[in-house]
Amino acid sequence: MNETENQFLLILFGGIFFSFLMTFFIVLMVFLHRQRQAQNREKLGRMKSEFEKTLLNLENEIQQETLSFVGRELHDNIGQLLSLAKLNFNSSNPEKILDGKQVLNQIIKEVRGLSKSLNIDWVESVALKEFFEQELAKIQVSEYCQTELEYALEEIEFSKNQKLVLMRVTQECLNNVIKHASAKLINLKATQEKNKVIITISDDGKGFDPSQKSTGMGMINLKNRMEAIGGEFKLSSILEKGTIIKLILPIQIS
Amino acid sequence: MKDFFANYYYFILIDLITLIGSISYFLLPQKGKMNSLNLLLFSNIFLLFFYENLALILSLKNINNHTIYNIFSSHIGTILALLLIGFYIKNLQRKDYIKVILFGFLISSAVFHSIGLISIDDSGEVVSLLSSTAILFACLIFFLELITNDAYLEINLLKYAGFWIVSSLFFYFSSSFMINISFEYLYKNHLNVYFIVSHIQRFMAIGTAISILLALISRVSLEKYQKVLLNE
Repeated sequence: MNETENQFLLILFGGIFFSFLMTFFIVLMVFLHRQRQAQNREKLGRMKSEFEKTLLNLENEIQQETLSFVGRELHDNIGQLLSLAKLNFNSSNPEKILDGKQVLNQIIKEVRGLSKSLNIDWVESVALKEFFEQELAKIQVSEYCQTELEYALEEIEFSKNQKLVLMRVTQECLNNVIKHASAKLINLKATQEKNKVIITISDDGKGFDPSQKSTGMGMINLKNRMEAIGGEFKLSSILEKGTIIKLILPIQIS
Repeated sequence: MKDFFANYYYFILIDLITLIGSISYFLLPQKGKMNSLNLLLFSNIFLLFFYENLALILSLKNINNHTIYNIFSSHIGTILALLLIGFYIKNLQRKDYIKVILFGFLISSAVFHSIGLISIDDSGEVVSLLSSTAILFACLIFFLELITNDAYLEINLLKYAGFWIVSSLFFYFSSSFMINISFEYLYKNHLNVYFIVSHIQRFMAIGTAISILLALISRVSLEKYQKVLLNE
């Protein structure tokens, strides 16, 4: 074999080797990409099931909350009204019987209100504003403290899941204020800033030091729940000044 | 005839690719013609056609065509290829890296020319080394992006025009890397090897031009007939 043939063979084999290298590179890239896609699909599946689990938990919690509210109402309110009606009807005085009828009408009204809160499709049927009003009204009725509502989200329609999470997280935040804050005033504000909905729950209670590590899972759960619907949970608190919680949810503006 | 094709197959194929590319480009709606990706794809094909044919004419007239390759292939070709790679990168920070590579290449070329280390009519080893290095780094950034950026998770890589274009540029410039820097040595000392090696580079250039042409045809199919051939 002369020198030219050797050089030719060298280049030929070099070319074949380079072709193999190119093919290997393409296959490797496609393999890595497909592997990432598979991992991503698995991750999305996990996230979806976790999200569904979170929603199920939320529905359960809301149901439990509603049932305990209904229980309290039956015992403290309707029970009392029924006793009063019974007393009135047992009287021979026509005025008392008239009073009894009025009490009976009030009971009917109260029972209707309660049956509404037991409706399974309640989350879909109730508006966010209405829910906030009801929650604040409960606090007001209990004479725990004063409440204020500023609602400026009239034209925004939330999905059932978003509404469910916003309702439950707000409800939990309000419960926390009642349990721990010793506040005189709770302010609930729902506003829109560009493509974000911001729900602010603020109180003038005793506040706490947010840098102190909490042993409970409450705040982490609230944060996780907001993140499950693509939102954010922000908390700021100053000792003896109060606490501000912001629930931020990005929305699509058509 | 057989000899003619053997000698000029490269130019015939380049001309044919440019002809199909031009027809495809002019089939695009007016708005599509001004689209920066379409312009970049067509410019890459047309530039190859322009400088290869110009260099052929000069060589047939026994005029040194190094200047043509230095200006159009090593400089303008590199700029267009970098812009094309940059177009397929979605991450803004990585797009900036491509700009840095582009300006780094131009500045270093300008410095080398101004200090007289290289000349516009030399055989272009140093400038080829610079351009190949710039393109290879840009390709690596693209591949890194491809396997790290979530924006690519939904695409089918085998039907993604950017992947085939950048891969063919990567192979073309990695094969050219060694060939370009040894061109003068081979031409002077091993002319037969030079001719064999130059075929490898030509095949790679045709492969790259075909991948760009397919991307352009896919754009026409999408913009004119609403049919997706390749993903973008």
